[in-house]
Amino acid sequence: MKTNKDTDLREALRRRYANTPSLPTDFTERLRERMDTKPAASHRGHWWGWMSAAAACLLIAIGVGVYYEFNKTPCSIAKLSAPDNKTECTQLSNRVHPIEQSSAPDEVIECTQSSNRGAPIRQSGRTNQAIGAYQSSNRARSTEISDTLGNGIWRSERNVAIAIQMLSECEETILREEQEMRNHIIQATFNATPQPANVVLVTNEAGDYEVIETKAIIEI
Amino acid sequence: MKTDKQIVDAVMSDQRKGLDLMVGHYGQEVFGMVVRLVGDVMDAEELTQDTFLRAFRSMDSYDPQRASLGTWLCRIAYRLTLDFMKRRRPLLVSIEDSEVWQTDINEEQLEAELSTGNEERISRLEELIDQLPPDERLLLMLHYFEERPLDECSFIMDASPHALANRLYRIRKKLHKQLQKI
Repeated sequence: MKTNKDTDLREALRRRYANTPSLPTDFTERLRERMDTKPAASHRGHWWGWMSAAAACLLIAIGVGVYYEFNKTPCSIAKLSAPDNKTECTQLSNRVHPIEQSSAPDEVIECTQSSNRGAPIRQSGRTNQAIGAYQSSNRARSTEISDTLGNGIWRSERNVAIAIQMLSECEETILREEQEMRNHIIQATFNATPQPANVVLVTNEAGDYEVIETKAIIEI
Repeated sequence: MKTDKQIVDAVMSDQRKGLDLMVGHYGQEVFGMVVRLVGDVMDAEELTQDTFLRAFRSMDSYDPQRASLGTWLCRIAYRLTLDFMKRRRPLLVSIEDSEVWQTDINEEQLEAELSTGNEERISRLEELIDQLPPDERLLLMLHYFEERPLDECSFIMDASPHALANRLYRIRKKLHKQLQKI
């Protein structure tokens, strides 16, 4: 590699650094003193350094774990325990007429409050077929959270809950609040449009098939 | 006159004897480099002691194939000194670095500009050298003052010879730019 002359620069450096001080005469003695004392102190320093690093790592790990757990908890909808059926029926009695399916035909429906007439409603076999088909189609979809929802919650509400669970981010939604969740469910149920394809025939108490009223199943 | 191998063997077998040999042989060289960088005798002595202590403890890692013992000691001293200067104060921003590349001058012209023999320019260069960051000052010192080849400088400063050549060119352009302001 070519070396530049740069005589001015060399002269400036020579003037600047020519008078470099000499190494102190007692340099070697002082170095020996340090050699004799330094190792122990150095070893101790290393030990404390490693201990401090380990403690810091432990604290960080604990912090991360706690933070993760704290943020993970609200994702569960297990806390959305619904009150019993009667309360819900009362709230919605003037708007919708939910029908619980019974295993035996012509069984009196328990949710009597939903009827404005005050008389119990019997379901015909045809009605049970329609409801059965509707519920079996929904059963598969609601399997995932069926264990986490209380038994008292309606199927239509389950569908809403499923939809909300699928479409929302647990960390960001306000639906973590139980009351907020309930309000949304009620509003969604209220806004649901009856589907004409699922008209159910309801018979009178005597068991004949004279049509006294048509009901609609809410499908959301 | 002891060779590097004899000094290393002495350090391995008898530390005190090895210490005397190594300090006697390379003490002034290392101390001189450090004191020129830091400018303070007390600090330079402390750093030179640190250098020898570290060399003693890591003598196993010394590879005579890569560099001489003196160069290896200077490399340790350079690292320790840079760390010390960073702790003491932040490294100075190189003087008007941004203007350097705007200067349009070729190698021959630059060499001529820095070889005029003009007393005023030499004095001004002395002042400008003091304003350079420590790594740039050291490069000038090692290459121009101590006449070390760039390969040896690259081992001490842990940079490739090509990178150091570029850096040297940039420093010279920077000094030339400052000289134009006289």
